[in-house]
Amino acid sequence: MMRGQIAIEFSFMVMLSFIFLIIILVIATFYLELSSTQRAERAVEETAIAIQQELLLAASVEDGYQRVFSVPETLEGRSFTITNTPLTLTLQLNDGWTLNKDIPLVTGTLIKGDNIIRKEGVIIILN
Amino acid sequence: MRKRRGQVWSFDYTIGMLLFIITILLATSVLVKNFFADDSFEELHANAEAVSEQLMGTGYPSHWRPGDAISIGLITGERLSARKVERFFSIVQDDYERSKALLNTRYEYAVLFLEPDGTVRSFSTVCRIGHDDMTEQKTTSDARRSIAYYAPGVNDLELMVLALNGTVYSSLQTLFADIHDYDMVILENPQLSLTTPPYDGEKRDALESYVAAGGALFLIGNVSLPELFDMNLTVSNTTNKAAGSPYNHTLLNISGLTIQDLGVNAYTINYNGQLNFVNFSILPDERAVAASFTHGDGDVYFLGGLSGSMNETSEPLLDIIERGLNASTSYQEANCISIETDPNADQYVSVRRLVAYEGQVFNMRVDVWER
Repeated sequence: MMRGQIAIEFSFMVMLSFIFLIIILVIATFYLELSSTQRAERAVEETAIAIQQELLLAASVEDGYQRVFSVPETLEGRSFTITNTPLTLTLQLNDGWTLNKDIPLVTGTLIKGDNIIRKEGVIIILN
Repeated sequence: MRKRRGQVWSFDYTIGMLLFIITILLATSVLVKNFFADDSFEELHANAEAVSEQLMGTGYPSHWRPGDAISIGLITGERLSARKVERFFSIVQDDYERSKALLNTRYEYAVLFLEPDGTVRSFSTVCRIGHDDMTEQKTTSDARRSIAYYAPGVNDLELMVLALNGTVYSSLQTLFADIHDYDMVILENPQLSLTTPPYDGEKRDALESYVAAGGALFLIGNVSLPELFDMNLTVSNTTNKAAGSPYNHTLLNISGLTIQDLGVNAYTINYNGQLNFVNFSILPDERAVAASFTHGDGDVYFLGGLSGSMNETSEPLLDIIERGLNASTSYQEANCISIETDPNADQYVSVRRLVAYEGQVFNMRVDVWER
């Protein structure tokens, strides 16, 4: 009877400790995932701002300007897509989170890796 | 005895498990803190610096309007532009979140301008631009924008301008010497090419630089200086009627009305590449007798003549112009007493930059905070 009671207490304690452990792991995973997502979104924001600044710089300088700038393949270990229209830049994370930025009028398309930006007259040409 | 042993065992186990949980909690806390490295204040500070630096530029386009702004800057010709400050405020009023995107900040922000003695300087009724949860105390009073008027011939608007506390000039040279003191300059049939000195190039430069810096120029009738804003003006000799166009503006408030009896000496303007060109009133042959366009930070208004009346209401054109001038030159001016920061601000950074405006140096204060 007493041995049985001890065995039940032991099982109960083990169960309780596992439940605690699982709860802690779930909370930690949630925060780590949240942190990772936030860092990825910030990286997207920073990349979009950096590209916008490149284009604004090109728009404000003289004819003949040329420069190479690089767009990373991944951001915080996450894949993303980069697209542009003549007046908008769009970056989208693999989880669907999207950021749009207005840009000066450009012709051409942004790509991951090295991008050549040049100015001919008042037109900004990409790649 | 067995019972005691079991209890001792359970007690030991409980203590052991508590220690285990505490260790796990500590480890998790260290791990999470490592991922959530508390560099938020540094980020906030860097962002405040970046926002203030951006505002110290011209923005893009360099003479941006609320509708076409890609980047907001408040400087024109190395000085603070009151027009850009007004437009910035207009964007914030319409869509605060858009203004945050244009300033590349995810934080809340506010921009204000401080006099050398530390008091807040207002622009019209604006004491600060940005987030709504800053409380401000201010008093407002009626004010009038300054007007200069020049008409070498018949001066239909002289009494009207004087009634609006404007200044009447009889010499173009004197007007050009003072031109940057005025918010609006009205030239009625100035026949600019007939007056020398100043020479045509100087006249064009004086008027174009005045408008580019944010001035409002109201040209009426015979301007006779084709190179000025590349305006293509011609005498209207085919008809004396003009159709109104559906556009509202305080100065040329002739929307939806038909001007009649303009007279044979009314002038028309054809679009010739001017920015934001808007016809207010067109003749049947599509030439405009009333139009506006922008140049740099400022606006140019053109009216072909003053002798007409409104077909629908028989109201003289002069009365319409008087009403428009009265409305567009009167405004409310604020006396900013105090501004309180957002009570929900968690972390708060304030950056100051020196800006030149109207011969004085001000502090532009950019507050950025997280809620």
